[in-house]
Order: sequence, then structure tokens, then C-alpha cells
Amino acid sequence: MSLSPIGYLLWVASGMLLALIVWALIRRALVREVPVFSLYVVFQLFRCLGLAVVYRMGRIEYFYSYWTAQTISAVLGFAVLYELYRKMFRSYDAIRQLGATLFAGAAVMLLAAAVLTTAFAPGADAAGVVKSVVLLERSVRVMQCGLLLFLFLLSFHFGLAWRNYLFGIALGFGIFASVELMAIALRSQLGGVAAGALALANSAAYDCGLVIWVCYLLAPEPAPQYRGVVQHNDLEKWNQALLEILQR
Amino acid sequence: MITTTLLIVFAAVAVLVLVRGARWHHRPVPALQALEEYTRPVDLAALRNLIDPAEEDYLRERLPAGTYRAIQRERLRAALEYVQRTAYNSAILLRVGEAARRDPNPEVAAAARALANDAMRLRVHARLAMLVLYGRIALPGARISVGRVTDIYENLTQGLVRLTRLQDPAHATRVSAAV
Repeated sequence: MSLSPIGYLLWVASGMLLALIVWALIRRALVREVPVFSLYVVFQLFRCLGLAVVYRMGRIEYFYSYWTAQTISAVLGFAVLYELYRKMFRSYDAIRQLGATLFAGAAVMLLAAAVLTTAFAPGADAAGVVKSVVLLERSVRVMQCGLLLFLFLLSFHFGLAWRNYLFGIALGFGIFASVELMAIALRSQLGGVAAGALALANSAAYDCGLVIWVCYLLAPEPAPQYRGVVQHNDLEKWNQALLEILQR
Repeated sequence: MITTTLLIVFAAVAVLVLVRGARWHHRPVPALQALEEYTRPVDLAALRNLIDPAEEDYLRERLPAGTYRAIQRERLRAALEYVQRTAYNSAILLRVGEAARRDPNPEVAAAARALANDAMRLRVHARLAMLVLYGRIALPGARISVGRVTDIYENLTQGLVRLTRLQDPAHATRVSAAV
């Protein structure tokens, strides 16, 4: 059991990025705004550090610690998505109650889809408990991707305006969940042959999601950009151009 | 293999939607001064007439059944076009309201919040009204109300005028004419 230099680098980077996100959440006083997401990030940071310690203890210890942490992470991940749904719809009186209802409806449908894909799942690389865990992980990612996809489609449909940091959280989560879903699907098809490369791709996507979170959480809420406004300097340019024409 | 392919396609679609969402999130907001370039005009009086039950009863009593159905379908198609315009405008006004919501002036922020809420209410009602209108075009004899779209749209335009008076009084009249 050993990590490649790139894998090690990605692991260290994820720890640093998570620490930076915690700092950004505290600095911008967003912990109260998104308490579940804050808890999720703190948990991820402890998981990253904790697994680094357990990694040196042995294979069995690492296996059980990893999958326990993964289960807690999945539960917290759903809680973050629920928080996003509630916050997105809370601002509007007309659809205030809709967030929780749509989340529940979408979750039930996606659970059915996840159960169906599990029933028809190939399992080239593992047997017994590992196979079950991999299939469960895949179902979780199907549901997370689906819930985020649904949230984005709803926001297109209703024309919902996202706060910048909420959008960043959803985008980072979505990128990571989508790439991980692709990796899990490929791993179950290809078996152990591509496991190393897919694990690296997974870690890279995770770090990419963290970078998105860092960018959106550190950036202040931008002032709206208006279109169709004639800028003062535009008028000066027009004036200059007209003067030039008149002088010819 | 089929499950794997389906999952990869699903994840790829999710990534595409997220990327499109990122572009959509960062798009600029139409300025109040240039609102008429982005909105579609709605003749509220005409829409009210087109969905007025009394008007329908009048036509039903005076026209042969076949002619009535043909004319009623045309009227409902026109009403549908107007309702689609209200839904389109509500999406734009929702963004205008959201952008002004963080204004340091509490009066402007309150007017913007009200505008965003009315725009969202209209969006929901307009979608429902569109479904009803599609149904009624298929069955022009049916008596199903299209709801309160016109009243909500009127409230929305008043809210827009209120916000414009606070933000840019010189353009208030022009802006109200834009919607």
C-alpha cells in the first residue's frame, strides 16, 4: 500500500486547501450562513489528517477508517445539498416551501435510479464487502450528481439568482461528484487495471472542487454587472470620433 | 457495459450543465435605463379581454359552435403568447430585483426584494397558466380559469416603477412603458 508522488502531492494539497476553506468561512463569517457545509469542510479536514495518521498503522485499520469516514462524508454531503436547496428557495415567498419538497421528491426518484443501476451493476474488480461498498458509493454519487443537476435545472427554469458563495459550493461539489461518478463507473467496468489512474483522476477532481470553493469563498460578493448602460468613456469616444469626422 | 455507459453519459451531462450554469451565473443584469431592449411588451388590457369569461360567454352565445371554437382557439393562442411574454419579462425583472437587493439604501433594497418576490410569483403563475392555456387550446369549450397572471403582472410593473423612481427617477416613465 503506497501512494505515488503525484497522489501524495494531491493529498497534501487537499489538506492545505481544506484549511484555507475553513479560514475563508470564518473570515467571511459564513459559518452561520452555511453551518452544514462548514461542518462538512471541518470533517473533511479532520478526515484528511486522521487518515494520514491511520495510513501508517496498517492496511486493515486504514480500510475500516477510510470507509467509515466515507460513509459519514456521504451523509454530510446530502445534508449540504439539502442546505443548498433550502437556501436557494428561502428568499422567495412564492416558492419558500418548494425547496424541501423538491429535494425529497428528487431524492426518492434518484434513490430508485441508484437501486436500479446497482441491480444491473458489473463488478469486475471486487467481491463481497468491497463490491457492496463500491456499489453503495456509486449510488451515493448518482444521487448527489442528480440532485445538483436538478437544482441547476430548477434555477434555469425559475431564473433563480444564486449568491456567489452558494453557487461556488454547488459548482465545486458538482464537478467533484461528476468526475468521481465517471471514475467509479469506469473502475467497476475495467477492474483493477485502471484503478491507479482513476484514483489519481479522482483526487485531482477533488482538489479541483476545493480550488473552486476557495476561489468563491475568498472572493467578495461581486457588484452586479449591468449591460446596456452607456459608459461615460464610451460617450467620450463617440464625441472624439465625431470631432474627427467633422474636422475632415 | 450499458450501465457504465449510461452513468458516464449522466456524469458528462452533469458537468456540461454545471459549466453552462457557471456562464449563466456570471451573465450581466439588464440595466434599468435599457430595459426595453431586453423585455417584450405586454398589452395587459388585451390579455385581460382574451381570458375574460364574460367575453367568452358573449361569443359562445352569439356564434355557431364551430366558429366559436375556431375563434376561441385563436384567442387562446394570442393569450398564450402574452402569458409567455410575461414569464419572459418576469425572469428579467427577477434579475433586476436581485441585483438591487443589496443596495445600501434600505428603501431601494425593500423595493427590490418586493420586485423579486413578485417576479417569482408571476413566474410560477405564468407557467401554470401556460399549462392551462395549452389544455384549453386542445379543448376550447372547457371552462378553466388561467388564474391571476394579469393582476400579478400589474403588481410587478408597479413594483418596477417604484424601484426605478428610487434608483433612477428620470427613467421611470420609460421603464414602465417597456413592460
